[in-house]
Amino acid sequence: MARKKKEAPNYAESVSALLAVAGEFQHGPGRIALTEEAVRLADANNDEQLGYFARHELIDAAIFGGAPEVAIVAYAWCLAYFDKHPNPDELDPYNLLWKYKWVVGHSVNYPSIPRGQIEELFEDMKRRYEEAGFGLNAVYKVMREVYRTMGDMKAARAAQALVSKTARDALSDCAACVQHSLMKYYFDVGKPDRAMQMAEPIVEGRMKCAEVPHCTYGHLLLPELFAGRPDVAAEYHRRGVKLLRLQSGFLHEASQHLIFLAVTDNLLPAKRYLEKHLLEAVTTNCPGWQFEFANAAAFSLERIAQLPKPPRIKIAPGVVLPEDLDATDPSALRDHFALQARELAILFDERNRTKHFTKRMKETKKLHGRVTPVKV
Amino acid sequence: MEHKFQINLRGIIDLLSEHLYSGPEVYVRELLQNAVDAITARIAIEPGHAGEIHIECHAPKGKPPAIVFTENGIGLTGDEVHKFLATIGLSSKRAADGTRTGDFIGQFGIGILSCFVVSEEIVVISRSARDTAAKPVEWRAKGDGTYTLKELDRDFEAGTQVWLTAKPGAEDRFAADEVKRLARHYGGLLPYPILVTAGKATDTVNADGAPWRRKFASEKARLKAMLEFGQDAFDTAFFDAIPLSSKVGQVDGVAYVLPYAPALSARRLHRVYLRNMFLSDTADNLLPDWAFFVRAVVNANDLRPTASRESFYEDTKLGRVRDALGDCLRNYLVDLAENRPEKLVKFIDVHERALKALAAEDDKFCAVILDYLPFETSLGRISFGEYRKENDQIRYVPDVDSFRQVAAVTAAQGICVINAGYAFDADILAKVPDLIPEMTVEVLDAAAIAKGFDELTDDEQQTTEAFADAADEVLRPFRCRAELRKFQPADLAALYSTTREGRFFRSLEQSKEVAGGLWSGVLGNLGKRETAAAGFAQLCFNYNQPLIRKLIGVTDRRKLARAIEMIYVQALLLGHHPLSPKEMAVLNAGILALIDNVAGE
Repeated sequence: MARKKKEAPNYAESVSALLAVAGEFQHGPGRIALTEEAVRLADANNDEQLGYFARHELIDAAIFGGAPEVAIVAYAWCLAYFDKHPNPDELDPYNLLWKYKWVVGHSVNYPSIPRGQIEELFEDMKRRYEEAGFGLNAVYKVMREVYRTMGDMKAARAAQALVSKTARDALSDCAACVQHSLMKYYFDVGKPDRAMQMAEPIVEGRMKCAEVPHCTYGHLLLPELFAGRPDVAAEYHRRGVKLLRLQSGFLHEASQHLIFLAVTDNLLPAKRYLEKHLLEAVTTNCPGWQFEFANAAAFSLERIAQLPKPPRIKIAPGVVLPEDLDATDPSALRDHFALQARELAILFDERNRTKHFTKRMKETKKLHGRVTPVKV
Repeated sequence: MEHKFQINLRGIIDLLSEHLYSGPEVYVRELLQNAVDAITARIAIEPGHAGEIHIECHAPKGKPPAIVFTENGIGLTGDEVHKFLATIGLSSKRAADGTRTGDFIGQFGIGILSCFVVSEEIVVISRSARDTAAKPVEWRAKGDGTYTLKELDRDFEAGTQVWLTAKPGAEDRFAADEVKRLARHYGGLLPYPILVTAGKATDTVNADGAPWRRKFASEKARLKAMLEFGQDAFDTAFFDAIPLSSKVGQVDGVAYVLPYAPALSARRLHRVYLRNMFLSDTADNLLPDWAFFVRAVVNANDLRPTASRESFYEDTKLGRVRDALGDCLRNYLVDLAENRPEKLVKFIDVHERALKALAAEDDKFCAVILDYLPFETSLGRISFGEYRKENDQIRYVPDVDSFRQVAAVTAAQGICVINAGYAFDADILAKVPDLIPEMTVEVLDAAAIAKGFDELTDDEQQTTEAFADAADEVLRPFRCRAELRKFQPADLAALYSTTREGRFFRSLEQSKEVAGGLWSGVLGNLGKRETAAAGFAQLCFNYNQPLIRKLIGVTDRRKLARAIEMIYVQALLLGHHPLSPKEMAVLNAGILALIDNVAGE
């Protein structure tokens, strides 16, 4: 081993070269694949420390590139390596704790992970934060977001009460992210005015970060539209779509834009938008996003199928759908996504012990009665 | 009873100098801005008035250096001085009736106070052009927050003059060269002269103005002047200069093509002027996202700055400006493709990714540029145009790992496969059927290629059945299925192929083997998905390979199992897949058995 360390190992250079190239890419499958390659190379040479740092890059790439499950798997490895390391301070513990938020925050999107286990993760996270001398503000925020996503608003409110009682510290999210997540929270607990107030500094460009305002606009489309401000909604749609255009990992937000196009009677743009996101939608392994897209696709395809001469749906190369499905037929594709959404909603609701996902599907269906034509 | 806040001016100035302004040099910017606003206001009542700004730098021996800053703008009356110069937060620009706040740059009413950062005392002499009967006034303000105001009984041209004397420590800011540099930096584009006098010499620091507004004898001279300006602004020898303009927002300027490929993630910072006054060197929202190959210098007459003055305010108008500027860049590239292909090739050498980003986003542009775009293929790096001369079908693999798996095999079979694992490649290729209707696109991975291999004949299948079953059984614990086919190259014993799912499950198992109780459980549940069946890898044995033929005849199940395991591990190693502890054990056991065999002979 000692000899190995002396000579500069060639593979280590290759690992950093791969990571450097990956770092030049926009987030997405390409960047993930290159970073995975770097991890593989480190592993193939039994260099665990290098594997640890390469995995940190992979976690970033996977979280922002639309494959959270890849991040969860890499994170578990990092945590295990960290725990057995004789001198864990070398391993940038702060960074590891920071990413714990992402991993737990995304675990809710996988219904095969039981609620009890997610709650055990909260406890593990708390323990690690406290042992490292940090407060629990960031943990409570993650808890609030997880419960909010589950639709357990009682638990979400309780967590929010804890968030506001604890001081922000170095592990708390950036101001823009906090603002954005509070906006979502207030929408979901039925305080839309408060939510839109939260959105103000974001849409005016005063607060921003890597994800904000990209993912903010989608949440505001229907509230603005139904508050009688169709122009504002259309403007947010244009801005949001532009920001999301070349990014992966925003399928949830893309789904919101898709619903908006369909409910504002922009059915041909809706069709094109759906076609554009089909590849990402069928390749994502994140059931939470699959649900969002399936729900939005079922709604907009229903509307497209009602056109006097329903157009055929164009299926991009690489999109794999069941062989017996005529995916170019909007009605058939609608049935496919409606079924997928329903099945996923059941899985989520069982795991979450709520009726939230089923309710959300019903709410989307109700939009058929609220079609409001707007020029986009 | 009602009380008023007491404001400590000294404290405010300290705050200003430490936080609000980027540095003490901004006093020049604030003076210039006040001057521009004053001249604008005067032109509004006196059309045709010729604005002028004059800065005198004095360096008297044994005394601190001083500056006299004179402009022939609207001027102030005594009342206006009380109201505007001595009230923090209220600016004449906001109060002036009938003028939109957007007409003025400074909106904070703190402009002149920034001079306290460099000078203990500010003396302002001003005479209003509005009120011709008014006498000139002299305002003397001290950093402790006190000031005096008196009328002067002397002649003074309408306009305003500001006298400053350098504080200890601020002397360098008053040096003539520094003042000239700052005046040019902030006011280089102003449409009226800024004169700087030092000793007996007077220079006009903005004599050239914006190079894109000047007329040139030839295109070559124009490009030279533009590139020099870019060199000066960004300290970079640029590849080319592209004129920019937008009616919306009244924007003009130039975009400089970087001579190197910038990191995609790097912030794109541009220099922006607002109504010809320098606003910021760090505007990042002016051009479309895909335009990361340029840095721009731009003036806007009709956009709103953000409060921090770093950039423009994000609104519908800015969105339309961005589109218009994007069109300028797009037209330039289309022009290269149509009229100057050699230059385009050079451009692509440097900015391949930027062009691909744009092509991925814009169908029309993609159609124009597609043939020039280079791709990595199993036969080397070639342009799309070259590729389609030889192929009527596009075959690509979606990621680098799959490409590595298939490249050797497809090359042996003479199939040219594109590696679309790099940013934007897959997006662009997906458009091809729309752009070139006679071309079809096929997405390949190792498994799909293996499907295309020749099947065994019925006879061959019969004789290999036992082997195939044994292989399937041996490989199942590794989440791998066995296949037997005939393919090139004949010396390859087996092709290991896996999908994204398959790779995911490999790493999931790997993490699970090391993770503690809670996390091992989480990973176990994460892997429990309906799609898990798709997560099987495949090992395709090559019936053309002599060693495999021999193995088919082996009847000792134990020996056969060991050989199959070894081929599996070898295929993993050939594909650079790291071995799990379980696979490592297989390798070790295999090697030990081999040694044992040799020793036994």
